Amino acid sequence: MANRDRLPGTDGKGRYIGRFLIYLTLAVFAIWYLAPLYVVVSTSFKDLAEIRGGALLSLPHEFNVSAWHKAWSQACIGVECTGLKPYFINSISMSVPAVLISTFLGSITGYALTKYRFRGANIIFSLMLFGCFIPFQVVILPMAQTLGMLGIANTVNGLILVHVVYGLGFTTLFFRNYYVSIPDDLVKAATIDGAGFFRIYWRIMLPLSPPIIVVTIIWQFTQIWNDFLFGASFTTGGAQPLTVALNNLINTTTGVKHYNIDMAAALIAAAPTLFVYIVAGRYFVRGLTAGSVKG
Amino acid sequence: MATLTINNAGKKYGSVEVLNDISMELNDGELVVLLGSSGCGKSTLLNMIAGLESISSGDIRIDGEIVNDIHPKNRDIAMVFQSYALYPNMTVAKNISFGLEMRGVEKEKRDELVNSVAKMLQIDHLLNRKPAQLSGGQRQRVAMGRALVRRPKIFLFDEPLSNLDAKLRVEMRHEIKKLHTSLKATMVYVTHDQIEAMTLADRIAILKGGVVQQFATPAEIYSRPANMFVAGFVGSPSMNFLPVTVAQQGNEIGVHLAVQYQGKSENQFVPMRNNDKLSQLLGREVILGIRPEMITQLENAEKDLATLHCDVEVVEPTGADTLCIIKLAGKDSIARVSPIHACAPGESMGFALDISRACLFDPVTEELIS
Amino acid sequence: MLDRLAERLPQIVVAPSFLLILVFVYGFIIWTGYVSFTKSKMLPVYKLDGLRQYTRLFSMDRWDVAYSNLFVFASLFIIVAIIIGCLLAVLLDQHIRAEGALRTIYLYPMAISFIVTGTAWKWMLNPSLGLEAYFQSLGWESFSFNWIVDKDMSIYVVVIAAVWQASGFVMALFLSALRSVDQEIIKAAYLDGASNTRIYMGIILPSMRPVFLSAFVILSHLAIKSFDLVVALTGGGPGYASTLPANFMYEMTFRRNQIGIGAASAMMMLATVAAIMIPYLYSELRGKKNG
Repeated sequence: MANRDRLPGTDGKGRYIGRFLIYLTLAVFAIWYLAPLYVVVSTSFKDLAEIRGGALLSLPHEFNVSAWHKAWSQACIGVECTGLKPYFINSISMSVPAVLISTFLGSITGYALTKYRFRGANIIFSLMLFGCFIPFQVVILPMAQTLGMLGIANTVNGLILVHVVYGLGFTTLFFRNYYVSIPDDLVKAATIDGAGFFRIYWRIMLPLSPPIIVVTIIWQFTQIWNDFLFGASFTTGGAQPLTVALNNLINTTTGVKHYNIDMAAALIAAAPTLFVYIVAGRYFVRGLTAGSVKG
Repeated sequence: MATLTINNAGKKYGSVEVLNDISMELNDGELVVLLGSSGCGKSTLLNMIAGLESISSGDIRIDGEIVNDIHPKNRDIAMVFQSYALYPNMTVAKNISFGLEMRGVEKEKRDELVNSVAKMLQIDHLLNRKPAQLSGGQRQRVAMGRALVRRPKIFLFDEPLSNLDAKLRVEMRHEIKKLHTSLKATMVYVTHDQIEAMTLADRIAILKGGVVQQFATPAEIYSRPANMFVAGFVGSPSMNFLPVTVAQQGNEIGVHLAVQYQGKSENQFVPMRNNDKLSQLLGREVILGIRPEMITQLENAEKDLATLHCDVEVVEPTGADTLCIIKLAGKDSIARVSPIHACAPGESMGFALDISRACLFDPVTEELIS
Repeated sequence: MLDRLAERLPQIVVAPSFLLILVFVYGFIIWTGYVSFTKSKMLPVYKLDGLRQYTRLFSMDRWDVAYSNLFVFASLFIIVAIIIGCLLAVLLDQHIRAEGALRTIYLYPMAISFIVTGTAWKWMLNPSLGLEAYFQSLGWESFSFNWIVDKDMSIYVVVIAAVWQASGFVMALFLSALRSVDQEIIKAAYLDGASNTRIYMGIILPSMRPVFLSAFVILSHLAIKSFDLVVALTGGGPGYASTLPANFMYEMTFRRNQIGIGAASAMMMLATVAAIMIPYLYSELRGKKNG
């Protein structure tokens, strides 16, 4: 009902009270959503003494960035006191290739499935689609064995493989749904013009794909960056991605708890995806809703 | 320039037969229209000629060579789509030259060809635009340009005008006719619009249910339709179909027509002259197919025409003519009269019947008799 | 000859992706299923052992807790997230001035990892330094909110954090559906004299049945997969009071060297997901074909 002009006869006193209640409810929810972020950010700038003082919701007395510094380069994760930096790099070198490979494969598979409806294409797509929705617990064990056999257990490369494989269903789904809306006549026209499978993909389909490429890349990046299960199951020590390292840091039970460092670390882990969300929120939402409308 | 031969071609999807035993031969430089309503298989046939659909049985030849298994790009054909299918990411110039580029034509040569085609179609000022920036008529021209530039053996048109508004459609129809006259190229043109078919075609193939009903010149299809489907499909308003019995009165053979005259039902005898075979049909029930323009006002009509008087139920002025709806043989029938002679609804008037041009159909098989 | 190869290209291109899925999804499911019928402990063994792992699984209190937690967690999470998401969408649809900003605020949790969410809420709900301590220090001595360390309540803490994370997504889903409702129906209802509330309750929301279904399926899928949130928020505790099947499976497989039981529990999770997803996907794919 967007952009509907205010209809006549809906004005009056009751209207103002109603409007007030609407805004009040929306504001209360906004506070609820923002509270954890506020608490985490303000805590990360406090020093330990202030935190122990218990003023959870107050602003820090002075902005103290030392916790951020420590979280980045000094905090101990397990026995290694390197900070999050190497794990951040792990996550980057895992996400970037995994996102690019799965997006590319999804795109060309989606193209082949929609524009060349060969026998069995629908069954293949259904099987790939259901693959998106399995609980990954059911593949963890054999995956661990397979990674060992391939000699890439406990490596970033192993995680790249895992994320490519289990991201394929979604990327194919995204591209398929997008390519379905591109008229088949384009492919026919190009075929008569003399272009083959790859040329049509390269010259016609890909140039039309930037919106869905952005959606897919954002979706995949968010999924892979935020993954914890695969990281925790297939890596230990130095090969861990950032989420696993963060969890280890926070759940360390030895020594004094440095809540400010924990919070700074959590923010560091959240920063890349939050950044993407704020810069390209429109595409992010489209990915979420695209993932929900199947077929 | 080329000939196109279709021999007993058929198409099946699983067990569903879409096209059945289609045969036709196109002479060099001929424009043939495939006419039919949606689902009759005309687009499927066109796609089979293009190579976009496989051929289940029979064969298709271009210049005598069987092309069943030849890839579309090697058939030397071009196609204009209903949706135009312009590449949205490319400029008009790129759209037109894409096919040349795929065939390895050099850049300079491409530019030259694109420019000359663009000039011919009056789109040379649009060459750097993207399709989204063009109007419907301009897109249509670009789509034509894309086909023309390659100088293919055969042009295929898949309802190219149906996305245009009425006025543009007439304009583009004239363009296509002019192009065909000047290029003298072999063309296959698919449409569901009988006026397009009549105006453009050298010959028309009318399809229904995957079967060719009649393959003939527009004039023949109009005057000697092979069956009632063809007769009803072509011509606007449609042919009137009157169930009658062939009878004899005096020494004349003709039909009895029930008409409403001054509120009463009466039978009028209409003699049918110039029809020697009629005597064989004496006493048989037939369908008399008579076009609206064959029922006209008495005034200025030729002397030897049959006449009848009846009540006019509805009057529809169309401008050039006025359509009168009258009851003939119990059916609402349309007569086409000149506006100055039309009466008011409810009144009665006299009509002249040019019955010698009427057709007789078998009521069971619906085929043309004789 | 070349034409023949060109005709096969689409299949050739799809093959690698399809094979990957076939092996890494379906092959692995079969592998896990097989292992769940063996005596595997620390390493997989391949001698069949009947249903023993399943009987052991069902006799474990830990699994009982995890599986019933899943139903408590999933139903509360789904219902509350749909109610909040739906409410926010309808309210945001009332020509709200700062709609863009509010939408951004409601949805941002969806962009961050469950580990971060868990960390944040764990800190907020920390009894000695979090909200409880804060309100007490303000003079509200009796304020108490220690669910996170209460074994009967800790699963509800997981619900709160999960709703916080996902309700904005439901809002986005509903809002985009609201915006695509046929305007003419609304105008017609308005001319018929229906009030705004009636229009929403009587016409718009019922017409959004498919969106409710999508939201339900996605949220239940999220719920069954929930693993990291529990790890970061409660660690499954106190004791194992807030474990979910996903955590159970991980614990058995990687911590306790009970691969057989881990596999059996994974198969149980798969069965639960399949019971929801297969009918849904089937109807979606079929509906598309007929439509």
